[in-house]
Amino acid sequence: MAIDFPSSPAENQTFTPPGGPTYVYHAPIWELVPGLVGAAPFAAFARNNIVVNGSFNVVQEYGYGVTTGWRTYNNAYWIDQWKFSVVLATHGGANFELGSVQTSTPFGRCGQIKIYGAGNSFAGASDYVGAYQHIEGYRMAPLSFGYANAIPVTLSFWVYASVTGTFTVILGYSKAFLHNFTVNAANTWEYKTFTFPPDTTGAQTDWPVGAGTGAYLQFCFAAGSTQKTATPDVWATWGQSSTPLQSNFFASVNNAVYLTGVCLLPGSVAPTAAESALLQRSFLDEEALCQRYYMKIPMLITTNYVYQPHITSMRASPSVTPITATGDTWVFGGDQHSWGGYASNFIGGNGLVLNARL
Amino acid sequence: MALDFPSTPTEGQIYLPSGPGGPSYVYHAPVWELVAGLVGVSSISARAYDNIIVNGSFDVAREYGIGTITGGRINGAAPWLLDEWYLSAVIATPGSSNFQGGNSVPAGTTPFGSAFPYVGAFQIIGAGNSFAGANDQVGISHTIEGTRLAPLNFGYSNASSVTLSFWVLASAAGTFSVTIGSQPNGGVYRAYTHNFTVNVANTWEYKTFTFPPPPIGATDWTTDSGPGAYLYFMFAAGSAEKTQTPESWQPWNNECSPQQSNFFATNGNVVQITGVCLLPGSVAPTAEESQLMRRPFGEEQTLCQRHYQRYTMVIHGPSDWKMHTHITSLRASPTVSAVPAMSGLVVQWPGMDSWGCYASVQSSGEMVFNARI
Repeated sequence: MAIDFPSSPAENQTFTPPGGPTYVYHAPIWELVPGLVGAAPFAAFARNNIVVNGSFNVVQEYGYGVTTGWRTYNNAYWIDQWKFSVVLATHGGANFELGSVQTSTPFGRCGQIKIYGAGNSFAGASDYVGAYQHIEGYRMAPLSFGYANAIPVTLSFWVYASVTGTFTVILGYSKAFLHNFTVNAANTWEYKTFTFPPDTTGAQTDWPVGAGTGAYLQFCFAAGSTQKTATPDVWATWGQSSTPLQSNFFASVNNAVYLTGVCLLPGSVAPTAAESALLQRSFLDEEALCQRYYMKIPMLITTNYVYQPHITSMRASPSVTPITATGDTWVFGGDQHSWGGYASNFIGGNGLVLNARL
Repeated sequence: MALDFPSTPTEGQIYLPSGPGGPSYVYHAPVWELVAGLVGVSSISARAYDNIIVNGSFDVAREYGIGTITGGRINGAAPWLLDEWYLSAVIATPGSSNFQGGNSVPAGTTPFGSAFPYVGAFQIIGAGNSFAGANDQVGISHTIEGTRLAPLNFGYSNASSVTLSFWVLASAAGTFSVTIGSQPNGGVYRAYTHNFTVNVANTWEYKTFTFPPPPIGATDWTTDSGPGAYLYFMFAAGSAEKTQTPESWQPWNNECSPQQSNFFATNGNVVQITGVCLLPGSVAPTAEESQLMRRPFGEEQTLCQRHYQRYTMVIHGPSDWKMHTHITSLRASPTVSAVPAMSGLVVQWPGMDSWGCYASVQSSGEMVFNARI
């Protein structure tokens, strides 16, 4: 959009180029009129982050801190909205410690993936370790991927790793676009951005737009040989989840990778590093978004039927299970908007998990 | 904040006049161009949260579910097609005409891509109708809660204009009226009617219009949790219902101008609408930007639940009192009903935040909490 200011303005003359913003002429310069643009509406921008819990703040299942023993938990949630993916043919004593930790991050909290026990060479051809998020179709829909008018989407995030190297980020569903990022300095927070071009040549069925999974956003930090065969920086049918440039960030024991501030915004320009920390929804808003998929609530169960509406309506009818099994007979039911149940005995001090995760 | 562009820029030079969060410009001789980004595309996306309309994408359909329902929708029957949208269908001599309405996937090729998976769909079935009755009319309306209208300062000297944008597809070309009308708080009913034209049948067209601020009259508008204003889309009307003078604020007589066409003259004719957006100010999103002007489904649903909720309940009996909080606080104390009706159900204290009940015998069904306006 060209901004071609009037050549001989009068004092107090205003000028609004198509799409705004508005300027007023105070000789000898045009001044920007304070408003949506001048006020820097970061909170409004933050609400457009397609990623949920990109700051790794909401941890309903495990709480803050780290938990160990994740080696066998492939495709398991470790933090709200974030799954851990791990395939390790020969572990050699290696295991993983995951969690939401508070370090001197630009965001206060971050997600941690740390190897302990031993490092690993990821010699198995299909070995893999990373983290990913299901993006609900409704959240992807405005991008119109698969249509001629699809728009680009820009990823930004902070990363900190024990070693330098190259890692892979994937945006995809049936098709995928892989991009390599480089950690340039060990043990240093680095800000990364990349604009995924729109997929304009696919079909609507390549990108579901309902309440199911609409896309995956995946970070890969080590991979075996057959996993590292995808071509980066091009849309293609999703086969492997890493590129030939992929490094192994977990070769040595106690190596760790930290992520935070993961933001996926419509458009082609990323927030600056300075802006990025302000592009967070409030914790309350973020938690409510997470509760569309998963809730962990305290509850007192009696032998009489108790029915309650949810804190917020869920994505789908959840599974309802007690946090701690008691040996009693539990009967639960529910849907997207409410749940109910009873037990064979009065049970207090326990809670329930309502799970409608993708 | 001064905007003082560098006097001798080089090609491709970037200028950030207001630091982080402000716009950035790139010099492409001979002009400075605004860089799309946070201030460009993404700021448009952020503005989705400013949309005064709730369920403008017709996604949320708690009463009838996704899809259209057939028939029984004339002269006051089943008027709430979807959350927040009301069907006005009055036909003195309907013959075998009826209306099928609800939401559906969009017809034809969608220039908005997948941004609006659902649209509001209204179709005449059985037979077309001439709308010969003087008071015949058919259209949809959306009541804007006063609290959502309040920032516009309608009725005050510093009132803002407001810009409507939406997508429409119709089986027939023609002219239809869109009216914003006031809910007075002791003042007078005011309305502004604008004519839109469907230029090409069976083709999605993007429409925008900026309504100027209304005349001064603070009591002409209500800004509490009751109705604040009404937005009407009209697709056919009898002679007495199309007398509103368009393109200026007028006393509110009806919702159609004399130019109003009949979009339902032929059996099977359909009108589809989606992406209804009402933004403060005078700049509409472009057609390309419009696809970003939507809140995520979950957040839209929560806004709808301020006016209408329903959820499954099992009420334990006998006489076992329970209090329950709502999913989200309602606009006002709701009417409470059960679908299907529960035997021996007694509801007490139906409030904005909670309600209580017991049943003489254990009963189950969907509880409906209605605080619509």
